[in-house]
Amino acid sequence: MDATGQEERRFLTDSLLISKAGPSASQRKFALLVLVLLLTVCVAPLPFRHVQLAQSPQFVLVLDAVLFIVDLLTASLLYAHFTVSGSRPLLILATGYLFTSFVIVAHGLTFPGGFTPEGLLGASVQSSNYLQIFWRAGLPIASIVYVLSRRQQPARALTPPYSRAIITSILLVLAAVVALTVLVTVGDQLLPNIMVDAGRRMWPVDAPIIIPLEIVAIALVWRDGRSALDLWLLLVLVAWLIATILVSLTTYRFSLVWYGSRAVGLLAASLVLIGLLVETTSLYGRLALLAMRGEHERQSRLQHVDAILSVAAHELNQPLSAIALNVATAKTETTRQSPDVALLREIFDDVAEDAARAAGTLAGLRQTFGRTAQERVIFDLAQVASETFRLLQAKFKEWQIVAELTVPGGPHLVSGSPAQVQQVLVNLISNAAESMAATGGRRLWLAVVRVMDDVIVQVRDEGSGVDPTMGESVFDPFVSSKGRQGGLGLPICRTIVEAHCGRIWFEAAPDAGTIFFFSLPSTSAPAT
Amino acid sequence: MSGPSFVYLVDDDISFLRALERFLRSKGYDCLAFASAEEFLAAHDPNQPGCAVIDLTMPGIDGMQLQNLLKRVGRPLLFVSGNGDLPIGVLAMKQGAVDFLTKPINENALLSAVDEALQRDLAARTDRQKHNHAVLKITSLTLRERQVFDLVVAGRLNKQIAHDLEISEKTVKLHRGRMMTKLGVRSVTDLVRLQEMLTP
Repeated sequence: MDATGQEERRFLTDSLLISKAGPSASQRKFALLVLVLLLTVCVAPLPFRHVQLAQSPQFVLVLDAVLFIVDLLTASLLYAHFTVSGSRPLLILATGYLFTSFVIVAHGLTFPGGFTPEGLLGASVQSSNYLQIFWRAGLPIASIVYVLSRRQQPARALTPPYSRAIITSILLVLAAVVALTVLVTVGDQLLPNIMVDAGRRMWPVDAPIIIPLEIVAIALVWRDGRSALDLWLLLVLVAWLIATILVSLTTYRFSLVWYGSRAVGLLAASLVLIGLLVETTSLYGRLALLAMRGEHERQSRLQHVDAILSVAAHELNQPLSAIALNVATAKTETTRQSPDVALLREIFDDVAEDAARAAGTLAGLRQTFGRTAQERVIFDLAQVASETFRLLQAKFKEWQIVAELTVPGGPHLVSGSPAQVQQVLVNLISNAAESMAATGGRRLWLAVVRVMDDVIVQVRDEGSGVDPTMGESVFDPFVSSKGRQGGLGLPICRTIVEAHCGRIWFEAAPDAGTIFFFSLPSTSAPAT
Repeated sequence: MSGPSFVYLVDDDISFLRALERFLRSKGYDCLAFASAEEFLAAHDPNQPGCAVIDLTMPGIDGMQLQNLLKRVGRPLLFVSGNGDLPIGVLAMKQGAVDFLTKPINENALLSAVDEALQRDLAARTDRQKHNHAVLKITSLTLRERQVFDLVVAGRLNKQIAHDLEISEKTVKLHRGRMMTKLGVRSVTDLVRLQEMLTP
């Protein structure tokens, strides 16, 4: 498996699968609710525990069929999760569930009064009872091994293909169930008698074995449990514990408590299945969303890159074309008898200036869109505005304008790249200063305000204003590159603002001049 | 002819404008450089022979708008563009631009395009001059002479013209002789050529 594959797998198993993802608050609440329900079911029938109800072996058969299917499905889903994650503990748990489902089949077949009065497979009176003990022991033992194996080799996963591991697991389970069935039927004489007759046990013989096993399993899962799957498993174990306690309160089959324990058992068996199904479905949804978001992000990043590239190409093309023409002229000039030295000097000055201009454009692009500038952080827009303002103080003097900064309230937190947002501010302020140079306006206002869920920045000038017929096209690339004083222009501003999920626009100011606005979605608090 | 040909340069990128002007000057062209379409239009004299090299994207009046304005005075022009936008290039050529060059500019392409534009301007100017000349001559004719002129050019014989105008053939010959002298032509072929020049 290559590095990317491993990374993908780790991502999948660590953050998405039920076997790794931590339980959510609502899942915890639901688990607590089920627990309370189970305890009620446990306590409620106690006063009537010896009440005998109708003897219905068919009930047992139906229940066994349902339990078989539920456990088989659970085992299959767990196997499926195992094939995704390669986690050995999951394989163990799946094996446990498979064992349970197979033992249930044997139990159903050997149950006296089920298919035949004595039970199939040459069963004795106590065969199904013994099988029930194995059945009950199966899950706690699997859970204990599950937790312990996870503790021992937390990082070690099996390597694919997993089919061999799964087939081995199934064959082992099959062999164990067959062996146990043979033991309780053919080898019946070897086992101590536990039944008075078909309807009554001598004493709750399984209690001293099963209850401690279950308590140990519950303790271990409780202590080591981290994932949503662990939570469901814990519930199941508790439910089985309750069912076991219930059934040990009576020695009679078909008593009220006996039926109650069966009901709790069914509920218990279904819990992990329900959990797995819910998780699998929501996982599928999450994955679909993730894929969609990924595609969307890729698209918008491509558009972003495209916009930056075309602006960069245009910006670099201008000085480069000028350099090329100047060099051609200089070449012609040097072939003359007496070259015009003054002209050549002029040409070289221009070439140097254009080269510096191209380098400046590149540096600006790098600063704005380089790796460090791409990093998204949560920052105070008001603070960035004040910083930019301070940086530009010298420029304000040079431009001979009076600038004013207003930041009511704040901090105004937004998410994104401070370097890029600063680039937008520098652009808008330079543009404003430039347009005032034409009209002789002197005042510039910069304001950062919070409006609803947005932080809005205004840059207002007393300049010549924007030709209203230009409209949105001032933000189009290539429209103008005239006399930019340290900025990459409005198209880049729009690219940046839109990459921050914001909006940029302008309005004519009431008396004279223009107000440029841009808004960014406000972020409430820094994410940790 | 009113003086030498000029190459008008219009580009909002000052540095490129200067380089372009310097380059064309070194190749022996007389240039006039303008940083915007507005400045250019303020200084532009349609009677001055020459062509225009215009940046496609400029603030204010842009290259395409300027082309529409210049079409009316018949000034040949070529475009330089910072980005090779094919549809706009095609549109510009359809509307009569001599060439559509993208930056960085191929110097030879620029020179040959400027030459062609200047030639087109000269040819157009010569045509216009001939036309004006012809119009001037025609207007010197009397009404009768003009009628005879039209009929001769239409291929009618003297006898037919006399019948059409209801005058004697002798009088037709008289008008015809005077008309030919005024127009300074010797043959009917020359008359037809002159008539063609009347339609601009």
